[in-house]
Amino acid sequence: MQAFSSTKALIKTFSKNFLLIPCIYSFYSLASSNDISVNGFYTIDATYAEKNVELIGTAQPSRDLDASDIQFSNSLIGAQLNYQINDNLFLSILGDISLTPRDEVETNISWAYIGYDFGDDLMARVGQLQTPLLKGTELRTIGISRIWARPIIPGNGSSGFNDFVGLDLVKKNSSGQHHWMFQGGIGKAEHEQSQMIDGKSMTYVAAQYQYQDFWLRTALVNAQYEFKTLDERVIDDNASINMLSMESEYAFNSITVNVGGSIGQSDQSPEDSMAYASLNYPLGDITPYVYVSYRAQDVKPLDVEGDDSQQPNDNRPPPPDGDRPPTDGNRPPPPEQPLNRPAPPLDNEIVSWSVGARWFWSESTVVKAQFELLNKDSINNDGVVQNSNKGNLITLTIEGIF
Amino acid sequence: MLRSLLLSSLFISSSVFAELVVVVGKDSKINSLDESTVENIFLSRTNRYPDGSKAKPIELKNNNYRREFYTRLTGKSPRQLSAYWTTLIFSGKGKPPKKLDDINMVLEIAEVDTGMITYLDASLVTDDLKVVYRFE
Repeated sequence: MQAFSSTKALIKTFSKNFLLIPCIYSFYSLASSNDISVNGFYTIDATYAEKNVELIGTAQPSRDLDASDIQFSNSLIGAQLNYQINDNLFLSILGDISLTPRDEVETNISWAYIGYDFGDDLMARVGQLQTPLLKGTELRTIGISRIWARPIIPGNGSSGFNDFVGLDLVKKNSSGQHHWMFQGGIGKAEHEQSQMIDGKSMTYVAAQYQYQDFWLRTALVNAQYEFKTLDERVIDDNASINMLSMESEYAFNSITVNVGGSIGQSDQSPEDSMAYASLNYPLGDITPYVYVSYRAQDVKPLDVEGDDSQQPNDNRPPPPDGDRPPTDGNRPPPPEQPLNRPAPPLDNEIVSWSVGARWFWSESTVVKAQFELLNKDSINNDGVVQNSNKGNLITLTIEGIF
Repeated sequence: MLRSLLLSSLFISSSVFAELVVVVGKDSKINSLDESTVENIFLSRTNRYPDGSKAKPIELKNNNYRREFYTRLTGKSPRQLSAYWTTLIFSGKGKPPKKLDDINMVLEIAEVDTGMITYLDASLVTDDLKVVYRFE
């Protein structure tokens, strides 16, 4: 194993992380009045990948991990600032800082909005918000909020439409032990691959029901977008995607079961479908867990008018959920095609099996260890697997809030 | 805020048997509350009293009976509670009770804000406060 390409690189990575911490802490210390509060969060993630894999982790966007190397690129630190302007009006900003695999500092603002509390369990928010497709979509960067070491791989977000800028309404209703939450929003969609997918409008509705240790939530999201190539050729200026999700958690006899899934139907981007299931059983401060997740991407060929030779594969936008073509060595061999005709796109199927444990070191700090078998198949139109990339991952994380 | 929420529960005496009561200001129109309403208010599931008026939960910083209050009220362990608040706070869908430094601040707020609600050891209740829920 060629773990740590060099000791120097490792020291450099750690040094940068440690330089960022005082910045966050200073910000945190300054905000101590009753009207201002700051909640910090962090993830220190060390992942060993047996093969080259692209990983959807806590830090955004997805990371390409090199084979036989330990990487810290899914580590991040961030904070949420809340300012209560008056009884009803408030401001909230949540952002994080992470390192790219090339050791560059990357900043990300997930939330930035002004909220108004109508005092009747009804709240309105205006600004940049997260799409509430799945529970994990809204809380992707908050590692301590989930039991697993990473976001469930297929559930990284709403097919890349993780953010939107607009208006959101949240209405709660409680009657005894029955609790409902309804959410609706309208605004401009933002896509993580904005150079190729220019978001237009987005609308969504979501609902959640909770009774004691059971909850069920569902969401329906529609986004309109312009789909173009890297060289700015517009393929479809009015593409649309619909996404539907359902998720649930139930605890019985100390065993907690999580299941969920989502389907997407789009004009241009891949049609994603995903499902996951997990079991965990707390043993004091340690909670062992298993989970399996599955994702299928139906990648559609580009529909560009004119000469086929004008649509080389390299200009084809990647799937709008952050997936990129396989890294060198994993790229499928090009099928035999007449010259000047692009190879038809391959569909993807990803299955992840994991076992792990979460240890509550304290109420604000957890340690997680996870072993994962990740398998990605690229499949042609005839259903034949063109390329299969299977590998083991070992992850150790320390996550917390402050 | 979240840190103080969590730290306060870390330094709690393990053998406190306070007589806990839930109180509002003496001028509040609320006279009594049931357990599920108290729970829903303190877990940010609702910000209304049953009569529709606004509820503003607050709690004392570093109080010694916070753990007991939430365990008795919700049945959740401190770690379960921490997980609950983490999800709610970072998705912007709920806020924990506002924290005040001492009982005098609680009394000051109770005098001017009829929406205020908090929990105290019964021995700290004054004439300016009204008990609306008492643990069995």
